[in-house]
Amino acid sequence: MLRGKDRKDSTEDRRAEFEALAQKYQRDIFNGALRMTRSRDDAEDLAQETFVKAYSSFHQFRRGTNFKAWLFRILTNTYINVYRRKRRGPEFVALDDLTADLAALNRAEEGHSPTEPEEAALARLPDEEIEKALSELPEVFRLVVILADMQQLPYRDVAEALDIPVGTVRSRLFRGRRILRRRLREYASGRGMI
Amino acid sequence: MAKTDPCPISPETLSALADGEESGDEALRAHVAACPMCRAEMDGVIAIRRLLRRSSLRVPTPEGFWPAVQSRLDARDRASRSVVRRLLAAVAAALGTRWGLRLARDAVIAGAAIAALLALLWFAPPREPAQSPAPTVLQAIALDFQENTMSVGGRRLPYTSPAEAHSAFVAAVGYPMRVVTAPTQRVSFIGGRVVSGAGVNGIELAYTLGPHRISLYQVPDAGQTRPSVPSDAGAPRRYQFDAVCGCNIVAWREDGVLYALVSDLAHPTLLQIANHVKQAPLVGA
Repeated sequence: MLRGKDRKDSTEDRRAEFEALAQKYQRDIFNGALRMTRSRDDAEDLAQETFVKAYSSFHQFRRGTNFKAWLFRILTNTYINVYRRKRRGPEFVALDDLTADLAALNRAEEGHSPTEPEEAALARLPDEEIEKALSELPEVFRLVVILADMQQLPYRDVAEALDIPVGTVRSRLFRGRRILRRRLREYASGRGMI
Repeated sequence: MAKTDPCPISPETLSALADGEESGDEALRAHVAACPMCRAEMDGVIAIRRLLRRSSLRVPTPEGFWPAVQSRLDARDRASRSVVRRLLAAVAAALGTRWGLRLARDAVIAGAAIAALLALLWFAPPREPAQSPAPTVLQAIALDFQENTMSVGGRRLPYTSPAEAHSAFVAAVGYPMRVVTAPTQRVSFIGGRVVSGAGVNGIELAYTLGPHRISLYQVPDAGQTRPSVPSDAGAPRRYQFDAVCGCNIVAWREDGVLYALVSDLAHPTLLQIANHVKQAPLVGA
């Protein structure tokens, strides 16, 4: 990776270029950070840190490639390296526990047929319930759901951000969505919405 | 989807299809279009996606967010013009101008790592170092990526690839050292330099791995133990150097040399790289 490309030597030019690219993603990055850290204060720190790190590595960004995906890669790496250690709640979900959960989930799905279009019921759910369901999702699934569903990054970019194969993105996303849908259906049926 | 359902399409496939990430042939699409269970499943996936997307747009950034980011960027810009950087740039300018500028630019990235290592060295008790590279040779090494040459003791040596630069750097240093060799093509060598403090000289080898930075420091072991290292989060952390360190530094001592692998990579990945470095043979021996 020889750096033979031309670079603006002026700090001011580089700074202006960076801000022009980065500023429009501040809301996306903040929301991504919020879903990851589940804490507003941590999210604000994490989001700021992401932009500062991005500025520091801006010379490594290849112009013309997907800047949003690059930013989200930095956000995800910063979250994993710095903030995950500070988080509240369980450190990790043991793989055995997770497999048991999913087996139970599979069994629960058997014979189920929704009586109402799912879309209409889901659309009526309050935000707090959605946030709660999302925050309870095990992290391996939550990160994928945040990047693919909330930030609409293609599988390829999610795979790069999390340093996992595309096939893993696909299966984790499927499972994360299924857990969410089940959780939200339970809530909705518990309140007579379905 | 119910297990008793005869439909052959897996719900995971439908999930990927709804994302446009499943290439699916005509038979698949025809089935999905005709099958009520599949359509219901797809509708469910689309519904949850729409819901999540909507919920992701809800929260505005806090008051003053972007101005706060801008202040921190200002601080970065100022730091890159600080006295220390000017000094480094001046030294490097005597050796090779463009690499000096790179050093100044990258200094803000490597700054914490350099500070960490210098802090290590400042804690060293006065002792005979086991092995120290000849300062005159090392000070004279500079890599100039624009010109694709390396100058050693005033002589310019051309190279045509980072791998060649790596070998040339190792040869120029002239004493056995550990390097990060890449099992894949994504690791790239971007430079090497002298690190000195407390009367000892060591070297830094800098690499990139995709978007990440890795630096491998090798310093004569002067019995440094439990130094206090400033961290980005502000509060100093204590590292124990006869064991694996936490959080972006893996360090070990071997045969009179103290090694430190510093990176923004997550700790488990860094450990793997460290094991790889330890197992590979010394080069330049």
